[in-house]
Amino acid sequence: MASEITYEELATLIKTRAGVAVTVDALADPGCMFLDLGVDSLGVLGVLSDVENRYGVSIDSSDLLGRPVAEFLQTVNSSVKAGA
Amino acid sequence: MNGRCAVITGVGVVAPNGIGADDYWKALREGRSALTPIDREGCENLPLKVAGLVRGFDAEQYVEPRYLVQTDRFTHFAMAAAELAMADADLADHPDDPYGVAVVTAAGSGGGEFGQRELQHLWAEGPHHVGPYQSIAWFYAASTGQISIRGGFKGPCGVVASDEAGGLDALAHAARAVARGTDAVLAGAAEAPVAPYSMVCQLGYPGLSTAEDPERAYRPFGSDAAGFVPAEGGAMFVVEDERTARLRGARPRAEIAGHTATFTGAARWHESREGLAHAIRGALAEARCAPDEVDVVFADALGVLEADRAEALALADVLGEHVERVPVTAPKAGLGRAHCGAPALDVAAAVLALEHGLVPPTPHTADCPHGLDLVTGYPRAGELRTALVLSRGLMGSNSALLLRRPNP
Repeated sequence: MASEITYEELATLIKTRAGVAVTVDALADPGCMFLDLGVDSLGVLGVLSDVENRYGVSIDSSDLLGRPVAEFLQTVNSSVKAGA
Repeated sequence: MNGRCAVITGVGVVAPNGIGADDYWKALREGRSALTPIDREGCENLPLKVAGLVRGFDAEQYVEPRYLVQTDRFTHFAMAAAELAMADADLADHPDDPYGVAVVTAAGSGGGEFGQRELQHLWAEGPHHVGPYQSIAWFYAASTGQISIRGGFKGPCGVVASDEAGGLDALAHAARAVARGTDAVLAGAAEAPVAPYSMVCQLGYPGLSTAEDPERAYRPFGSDAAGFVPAEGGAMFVVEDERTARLRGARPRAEIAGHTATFTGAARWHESREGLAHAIRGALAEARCAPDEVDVVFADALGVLEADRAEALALADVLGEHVERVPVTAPKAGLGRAHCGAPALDVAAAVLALEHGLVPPTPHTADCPHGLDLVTGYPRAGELRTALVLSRGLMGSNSALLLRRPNP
């Protein structure tokens, strides 16, 4: 299993869990926020729980909500790596 | 009051016999029945066999993907009906004054299908596999919330939880909001109670018909009434102040002229006579409508002998001799009862009846031993200025709403 989640995979997760179609370019923009994409906090939680279930890790969501997408992915990936 | 008058300017329907007001009216006029054997997965072994099912409904046609993943079928219906009503009234979303538009819905069954799916995840895979949208999708307030979020409507929104009659109470609530100064309210109700979990929740209702023949399962007011069958669907309306509506070029379809709600206790049908009569009197008084000015009655029509008798007596108590002359109809005999959506669908039928000067018939029922002039078989033409819509809930709510054709 890949030990890092790519922007492509994140875009797919957002589409399936939050119902929002986003481009990789938009996601990779350093200032990109989930709310700007139309993904609310419950949508972010859905993405997060999907990652947790898939990689068998536990990620503290309280630090992640409201953060830019790039920071979110960085934190999630370091948890995934640490847990793998 | 202050000169403000609440009128319906848009009608949106998602019903077992048609999606959109035009298809719905066509089916009603023809007395076409949409009752059908329940053929859904997981429902095969339940004692409830017949219902009114909405077929050919493509949720994606009306609801954006981001809302689809968050919501149950009952909210899909409500959002679709709201879209249709807004298109009918030519009312745009994201209005200049977001506080001038509100949303009021009623719901009784909630998001049973969504909830069941998530509970199955819970038991099969564990709590981590329950999606976060479970927290909102099952909730009876979901439709009001999602319609207001999608449209950017920040006026005085609300949810009426008053049993099946809530479908009428939501419209009365909307009319009061309009009287207090809100420009427009999206109001109504839609339900989706024909899924395994939701069906099991209904099995305890003593009036539920377990007949297997769709022709015989629901015959309200008939001497062979065997109870009622459930249905899915509902209707949403745009309710506006008449003057504001006319100024923006919208066409008032019907005035919400009077309403009263009462409560007489669960399944106490005998007592519902007095409660319903009180509700009718209140609605007529508020509308300044004399009993003999009621031109058509859309009955609650439960299909339970004692309840049907109580409704007929309540009408006689208030209307006097006029009860022998006024046409009474129950188009829901061909649809089933969509709980809170049922009276909303009746309001849609009443608005269309007033416009067309035509009372749609009661399908299936062949005779009426209760002394009412029940319209059966064919639609009946007539000069209709007012329509009285009645609803009772299985938990004891009674409600009456009087609609009046607006001046041209």
